[in-house]
Amino acid sequence: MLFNHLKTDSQSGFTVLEVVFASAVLALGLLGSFQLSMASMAANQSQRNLDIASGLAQDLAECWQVPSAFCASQFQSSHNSKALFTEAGIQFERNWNTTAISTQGTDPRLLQNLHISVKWPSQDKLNGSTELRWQIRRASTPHWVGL
Amino acid sequence: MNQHSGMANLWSAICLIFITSLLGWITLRSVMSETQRSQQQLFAAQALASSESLLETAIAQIDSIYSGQDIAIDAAFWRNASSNQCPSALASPQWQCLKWTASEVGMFDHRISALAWPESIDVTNSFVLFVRDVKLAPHKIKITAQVNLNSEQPGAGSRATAQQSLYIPISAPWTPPVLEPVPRPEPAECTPIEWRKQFGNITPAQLKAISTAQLQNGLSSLSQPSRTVYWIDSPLTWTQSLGTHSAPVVLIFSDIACAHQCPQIASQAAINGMVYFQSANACQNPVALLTLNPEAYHFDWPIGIDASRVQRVSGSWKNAGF
Repeated sequence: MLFNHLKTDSQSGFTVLEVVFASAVLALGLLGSFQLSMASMAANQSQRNLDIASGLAQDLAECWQVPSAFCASQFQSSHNSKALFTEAGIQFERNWNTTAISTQGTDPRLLQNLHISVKWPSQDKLNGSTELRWQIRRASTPHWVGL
Repeated sequence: MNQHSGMANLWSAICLIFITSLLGWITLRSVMSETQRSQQQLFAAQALASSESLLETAIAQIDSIYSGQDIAIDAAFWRNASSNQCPSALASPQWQCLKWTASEVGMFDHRISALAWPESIDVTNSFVLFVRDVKLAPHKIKITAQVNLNSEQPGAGSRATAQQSLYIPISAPWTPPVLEPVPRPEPAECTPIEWRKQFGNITPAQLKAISTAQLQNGLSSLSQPSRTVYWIDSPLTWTQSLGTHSAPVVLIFSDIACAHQCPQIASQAAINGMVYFQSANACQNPVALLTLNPEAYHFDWPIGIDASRVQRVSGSWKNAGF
């Protein structure tokens, strides 16, 4: 009776091979899922940083073209560098400089170029940082000149 | 039975892992698709910034060309204009179209410098198009800049178009002339007609430039629509009938034409519009032929604007289309 009972218990469990094989499949699957999740998160974070950098560049480019007091105060010198922080603790550094573009016989005051560079730390780059460059030009031709 | 239970557990584990992996894969695809969308949006914004840069460069170029120069530069600027360069909707000869591409370098008049193309654009697939209506609004140029980002940009191939209109100093706001009753001149009496009284603030050089633009673009008395401004330097007798009641013309015989004696107008030539002799000798101003109808040189300007310089037309900026 006892023998029969023991025999029945041993038959109802898993074999070592089954356990090892199932564990290996589980581990492999979980590793794959984990890597997919990590890749998703990295891509998400990378794109989020790019969006922030793009926003910082476009914000400054728009401001350069608006003759408001606030925007004018930002462009008192021909170049500037400013470190900006986001809520995630990632530091963005925004540099810009303005230059006059002049071709033969044209007044250099007529056309200005704004070059903006936004840098932020990145783990997937060798030098550890990513840079977004943005350029915009503006002619000094006015909208309306009254008499 | 127990062996079957083990296999079932194994299959269940495999299925769960498969489903989890599938969900992970779908999530990754979704994230990547969102990433791609966001990147394309960034490329589009970069292309738009480049098209704006090219547009601003072209505006500065126009400003440079027309500011402080003789208005005769207008003819030199539009020298290579062609109806083939016009968008299909603007096929009528009243539209003057000039397309600048990278291959145009070296084809300009020496007074016109080559365009400083922005570095980010593919110059072989980008252009600037200048369009104006030489009959109804020769003082208003619509500039369209279309760019493709070059291979050095992350969004290579992205395309954008921006356009804006400019006023150029080729005419002046219309001021009604001071019309005084002009008595029929006696044979020995001279009744000078001042330019300003007839044409307001528009100068002879400006009307000459408009006349040249219309001629340059193929407008004539037979074209549809017909030419409206004729600046004549020839002293020969005028024999051609011009203008209709609905489309009057302005015919100006310049001081060159009138150097010795102003040209005669043949009796069979019916002029419907205004004839003006730019001559110091008032006796040669045939007042009898003068019919006031300023439509030919009365162009739309905002009230109070300083028309002596290049400036943007408010509200004309667009980021697509022609």
